[in-house]
Amino acid sequence: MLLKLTGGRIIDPAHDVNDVVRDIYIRDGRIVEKPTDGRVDEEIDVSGKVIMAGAIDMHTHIGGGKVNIARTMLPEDHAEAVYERTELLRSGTGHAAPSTLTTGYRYAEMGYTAGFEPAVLPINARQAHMEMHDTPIIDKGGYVMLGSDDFLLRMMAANSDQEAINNYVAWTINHAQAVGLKVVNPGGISAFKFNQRKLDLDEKNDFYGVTPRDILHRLSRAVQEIGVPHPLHVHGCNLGVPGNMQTTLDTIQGAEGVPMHLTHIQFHSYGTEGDFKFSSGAAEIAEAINKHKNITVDVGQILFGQTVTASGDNMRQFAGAPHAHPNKWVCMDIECEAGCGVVPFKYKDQSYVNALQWMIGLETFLMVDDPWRIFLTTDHPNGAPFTSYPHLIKLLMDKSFRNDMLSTLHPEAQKATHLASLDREYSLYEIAIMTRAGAAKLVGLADRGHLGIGAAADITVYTDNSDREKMFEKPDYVFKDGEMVVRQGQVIKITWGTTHVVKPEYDVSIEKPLQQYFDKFHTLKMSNFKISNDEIVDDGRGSLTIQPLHKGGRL
Amino acid sequence: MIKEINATTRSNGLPIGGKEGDTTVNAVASWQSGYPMRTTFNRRFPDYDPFLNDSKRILANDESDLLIWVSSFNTAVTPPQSSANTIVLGRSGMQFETEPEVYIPVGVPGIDHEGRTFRSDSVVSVPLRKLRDSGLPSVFEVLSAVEQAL
Ligand SMILES: [Zn+2]
Repeated sequence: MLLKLTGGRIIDPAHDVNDVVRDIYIRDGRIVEKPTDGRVDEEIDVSGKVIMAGAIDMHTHIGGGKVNIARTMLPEDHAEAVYERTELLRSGTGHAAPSTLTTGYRYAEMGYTAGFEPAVLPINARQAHMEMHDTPIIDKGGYVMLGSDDFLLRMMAANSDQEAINNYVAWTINHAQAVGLKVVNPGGISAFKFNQRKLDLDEKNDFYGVTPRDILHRLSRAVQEIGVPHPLHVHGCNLGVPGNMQTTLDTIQGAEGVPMHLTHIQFHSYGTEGDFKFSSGAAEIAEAINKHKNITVDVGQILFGQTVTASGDNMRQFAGAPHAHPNKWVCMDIECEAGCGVVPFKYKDQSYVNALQWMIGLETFLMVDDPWRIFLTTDHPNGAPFTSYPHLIKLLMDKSFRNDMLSTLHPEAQKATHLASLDREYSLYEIAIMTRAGAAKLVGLADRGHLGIGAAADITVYTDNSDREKMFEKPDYVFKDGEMVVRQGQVIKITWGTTHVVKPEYDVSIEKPLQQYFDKFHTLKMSNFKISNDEIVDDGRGSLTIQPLHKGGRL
Repeated sequence: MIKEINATTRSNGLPIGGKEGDTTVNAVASWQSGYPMRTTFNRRFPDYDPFLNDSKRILANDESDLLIWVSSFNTAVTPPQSSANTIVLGRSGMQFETEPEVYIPVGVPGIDHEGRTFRSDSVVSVPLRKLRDSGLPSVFEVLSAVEQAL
C-alpha cells in the first residue's frame, strides 16, 4: 500500500527544509522515495497545508506512581472533564491528570506522536511502563531517576571509580527499559530523609557527605561515557526558591562543557529583587544558556488555572504543600531510591508570584536564541496540562496576543518584567524545531521528528491559520507509522506506539554488589527489578525500539 | 499527625491494606479511568461514587440482577449471598454454599500464568511468573474469549 500526500508545504528542520512544496510517499509505516513507476494506491490532496513530523513531548508526566496518585487525588478535577466511550474510543476522565486512554487520544488529536515520562522510579519502572502501555497511539519512553538512591551515594561516599558508576548507570537504564537518565534535586531527596530541608549545589548530604555538584558531575559523565544520546536530564536544586537563579547559573558553569539538559528551567530562574523579594532571573539564565552550547533546557511554562504538581522532589513538594489548592497533598519517602510529592495547585493571574512565573517562562523562550536547545513544555501537569500547548504556541508566535494577555495580569508583576518589549515571534520553522527535530535529536530518536526518506511516517498536517492556537489544536490529519489516526481533529483509528529505549553496554560484575544490596535493603529481588523485553511487548500490543548509542559509547 | 510531625522532624506511615489483588485493581482502574474502584460505567463514562457503587450495598438492596465475581487468587474468597444471578470467574477448586449460575474455573496469576501485582502501599509492582502448566485459562483469556464471541 503506497500512500501519497500531494502538494503540502513541508517544514522539516532536520533537513533544512522550510516551507517547500513537495510530495510525501509512505509505505509500510515509513517515508519512502517516489516510486519509479509513479504508481500510488491512495492519494490525499494536502495542497496548501502545512506538513510537519509528528510532535514530540520530551518531558511529560504521563505514567508512574505519582501520576496515579495525582489521578486518585482529584476526582473533582475529573468530574469537569469526562469522556464517554464511543464505538472506537474508551471512556476516561481528566484535565490535569487524565486517564491513560484519554492522554493518548488528546495528544494524538493535537498532532503529537510521542511523549516521554521524565521521572521513572527504578523500582517501579514497571508501573510507568504499564501505564504507558495503556496510552494509545503515541510512542513513549522514560528517563530513569538516580541521584538520591543509596547505592549511588554509597559508591560515591566510598569514592568508587567512574567506571563502576558508569556500569551502574548503564545497568539501571537497561533493566528499567529507559531511554535516558534523570536526576531530581541531586542528593536532596536523600538528604530530606535525614531531615535536611534544603540542599545547595555545594552543600553536603549529612549522611553521605556527598554534594549535588559531585552527583551531577558523576552522572553527566556517566551518561556521556556510556554513549546515551540524551544528556543527563537535570531537575536542579532549590526548585521554586526565590534566588535559585544563582544555583542554576552555578550548575550551568559547573557542567564544565559536559552535555546537560536542565528541565523546567522556569522554576529555577528566580531572583530576590523588588518589594515582593521575587523577581525574574530569565535574562541572566538565557544569557548563560546562549553562551554554554552544552546546555539544553525545556521551559516548564505555567499557564493559569487548576492543575496538580507531581514530582520526585519531595523536599521541595513538602515545602510547597501549604499552598496546595484544593487543600490536600501527599509526600512519600521511597525506600532506598527516592521520594515523591503530589500537590494540587491553582495558578492565578492576579497573584504577583504566579503572574511573574508566567512572564519568566515566556521571557526565557524569547531570550534563548537557539531553538535547537530549548523545548516547549509545561512540565505537564506541573505548570499546566499538556492540552494547553496550542495556547502556548500562540503566545510564542503572536506578540500582540501575548501583550494583550500580559496587560491583564497582576499590575505589580507587569512592572517587574520587560516582556512587553520583547518583539520576537517564533516562526513555524522554529516551532517545528522545538517540538519535532530538536526534540528527537535531544531524546536520541534516530527515525522520528523528521520527514526524510526512511523516517517513521509520523506526520501532522495543519491548515495554515493566523490564529496559531486554532491551527495547532486541530490538525487536518495525523499519521502514526503511516496510518491515519486523526482526521479533522478527531481520532479515527487506534494504534499502539512503540517504547523507545537505549541499551548501553555494562560489565556484569556490577551485579555482584547489586545482588548484595538488593538482598540486604530492598523489598524486592534483583531478578524482579529487571523488566524483560517481553513485559514491554506484553500481549503483543507493545513493542520495543532500541535507539542507537552515540559514538564513544561502547556498542 | 504524620504531616504535623514532619514540620520539624521526619516521620512516615506505611499503609498496609489490599489483598487478593485489590491494590492492583485499584491502581489499574485509576490509570485507565481516572478513578479507583466503586466506579460505574452505566452512563458510558466513569462515574465515581464510593457510597452508591458499594457492591455490598447494591446487592443488599436488590439493585442489581447480575453479579460477576472475579477471584483468581483465593478459593475462600467466594461471592456474597444475594438474589442476583451470579457468574464466577474463580480460582479452580472453589466451593460454594450456593452454586452460582455460572462458574468458570481460572488459573492463579503467578502460578498458572504470568501477571503483575502491586505491593500493598502500591509503590512497587512485581512480575508474577508462570510456574506450572495447568491448562487453566487466565481471567484475561476468559474475558477476551467472551468478547470475541459477542
Ligand atoms: Zn517534570
